[in-house]
Amino acid sequence: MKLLALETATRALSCALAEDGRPLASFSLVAGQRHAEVLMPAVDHICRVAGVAVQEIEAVAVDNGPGLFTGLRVGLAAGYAIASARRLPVVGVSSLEALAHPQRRRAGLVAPVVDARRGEVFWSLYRSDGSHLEQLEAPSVVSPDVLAGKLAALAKGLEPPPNSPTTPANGPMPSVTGPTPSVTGPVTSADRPLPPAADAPAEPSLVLAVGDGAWRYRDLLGDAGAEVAGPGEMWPAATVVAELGWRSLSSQKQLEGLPAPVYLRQADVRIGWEEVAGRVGPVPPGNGGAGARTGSASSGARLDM
Amino acid sequence: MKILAIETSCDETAAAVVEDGRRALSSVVSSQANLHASFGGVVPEVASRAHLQLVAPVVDAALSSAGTAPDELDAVAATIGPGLVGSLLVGASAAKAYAWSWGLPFVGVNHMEGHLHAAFLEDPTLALPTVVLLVSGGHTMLICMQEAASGGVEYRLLGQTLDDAAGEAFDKVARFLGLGYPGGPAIERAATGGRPDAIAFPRGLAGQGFDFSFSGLKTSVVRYMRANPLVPIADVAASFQEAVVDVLVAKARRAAGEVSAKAVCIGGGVAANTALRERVEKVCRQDGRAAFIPSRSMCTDNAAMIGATAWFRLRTDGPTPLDTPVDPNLRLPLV
Ligand SMILES: [Zn+2]
Repeated sequence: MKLLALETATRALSCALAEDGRPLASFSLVAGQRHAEVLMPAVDHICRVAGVAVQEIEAVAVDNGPGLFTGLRVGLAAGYAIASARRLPVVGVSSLEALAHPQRRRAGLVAPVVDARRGEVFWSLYRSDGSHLEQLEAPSVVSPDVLAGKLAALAKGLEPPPNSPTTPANGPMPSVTGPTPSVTGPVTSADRPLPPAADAPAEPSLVLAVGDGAWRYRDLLGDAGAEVAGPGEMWPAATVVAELGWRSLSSQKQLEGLPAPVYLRQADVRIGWEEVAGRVGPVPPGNGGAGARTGSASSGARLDM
Repeated sequence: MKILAIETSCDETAAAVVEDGRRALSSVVSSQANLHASFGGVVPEVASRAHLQLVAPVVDAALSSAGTAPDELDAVAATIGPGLVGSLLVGASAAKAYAWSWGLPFVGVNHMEGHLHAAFLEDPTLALPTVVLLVSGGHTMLICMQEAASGGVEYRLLGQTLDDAAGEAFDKVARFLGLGYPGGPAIERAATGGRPDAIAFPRGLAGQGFDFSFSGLKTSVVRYMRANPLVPIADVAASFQEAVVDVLVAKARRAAGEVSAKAVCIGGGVAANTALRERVEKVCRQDGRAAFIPSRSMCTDNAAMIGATAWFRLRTDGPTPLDTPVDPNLRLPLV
């Protein structure tokens, strides 16, 4: 199965074409805020150089977060559109799982950490038995200090790693319902070890922190006893999204709608006055204004929220 | 030639199929107004989230209601500015991806130019030069649409607001009066039965050029209400609306005279206001000039106007490269 993977959830951008999980072509760039400018030309490029026509693509996989909202939506909007235009299945892949997956051969704990800006990080926790990853903690948004505290407790063996894999939490937007994320990751429940007795001393666990959030706060997390993966591993890669997406598609009988973005943070409901005012071009100083528009739209055909 | 157009510059997720720039085969608008009402304005992050969720279903609805199959399309267009950057990114990214998936050219469209072209969708014979009064929560402009030497259409800016947009003034005053959001329809409802001549609110920059100013009007409503707390709200709303309509229509009328316009056209969300529509019609009748008052759905944001503009732009400029950025401050190409 030929699959197109899009990865725009961080400052980096990548896209990949893969066949049954094996990469055929990929492109990556630290795009800053230029995801919308780079993504489709890059997709077009990899398809051309790989000699794969649009019509041959059978599925789409998209990183559906958590990540930086604006970039995340560029990839999802494109993924939804390609899938919808060509009537293809589209599957969401967690940015955190995409970061953790390449580390699965290394037994121990893996903490993927994505920089969430505003002094916070998105993170989750996985355990590897040397071949498979098991999610121990659902994705959440925390301050680097809180994360360092958690990693320090794990590294010192003060606290056993949690044992019940949790389902990914999706931060729903207020009053808009969306489809739930369709991917929970390959959880290997069969060979999960038994939880230690409550009074048993926990084993010190080596924690590998990986991702741009881990790299940014490497000193803090390093002091907490975690090992921090180098800058070469700090971005989720579309080739990994392709592999995880393909696995997920192969194991699922039916996809339920479009994969929803995993925001983990409520929308900032401050009104962007200056942004809305930007619609008139440069606004003279002293325009302290409100910015909403007037008039209730009505149209022949209408969808309601 | 059939163009699929997507518009997500503010808080309407819209898609349309337009034939030859003149005929809307479908125009689907999903308004988020209810979503933003509790905040008293458009919340950018909330708008972006809703656009992402709605864009593919709205496109599907536009195609099916037009009865158009993807292989009958000739191009895919989207608004690339001005607007909220997060909102623009969703529509533009989706449109580029649709275009690529179907092997069609992409056309990036200026939202303001879209409002100017909305007129052609309902009156393809619209004679130039035409003075367009573009009034919404984001813009207040007087523009002369005229024939370019090259044969196309060009735009000359005659005047614009120096502070608040007209729709912004409606929103702020509606909020101050506790009438809710969006302010335009709220003021219009409240003004019913009120006396437009009850209070003499100032007409900003009256008689001076073609620029507008609404911030003084808003301040004066606030001052008047503090001094006269028992005044009927209907009178305040009607008198405020009268002051806005007065100044808009007076300037549009004078501008039309100055450029010898064949017609006066209104567009933008505020153009849905009944008092404004009636007054423009009245003065045009008096002056023996055509008034073009588009249906309310063509005044407010929609994708049909984007499709109409895209058809025109595709002929004059060709396709837009896929690496073209969105621009929240995109300006109208003016002469
Ligand atoms: Zn508009």
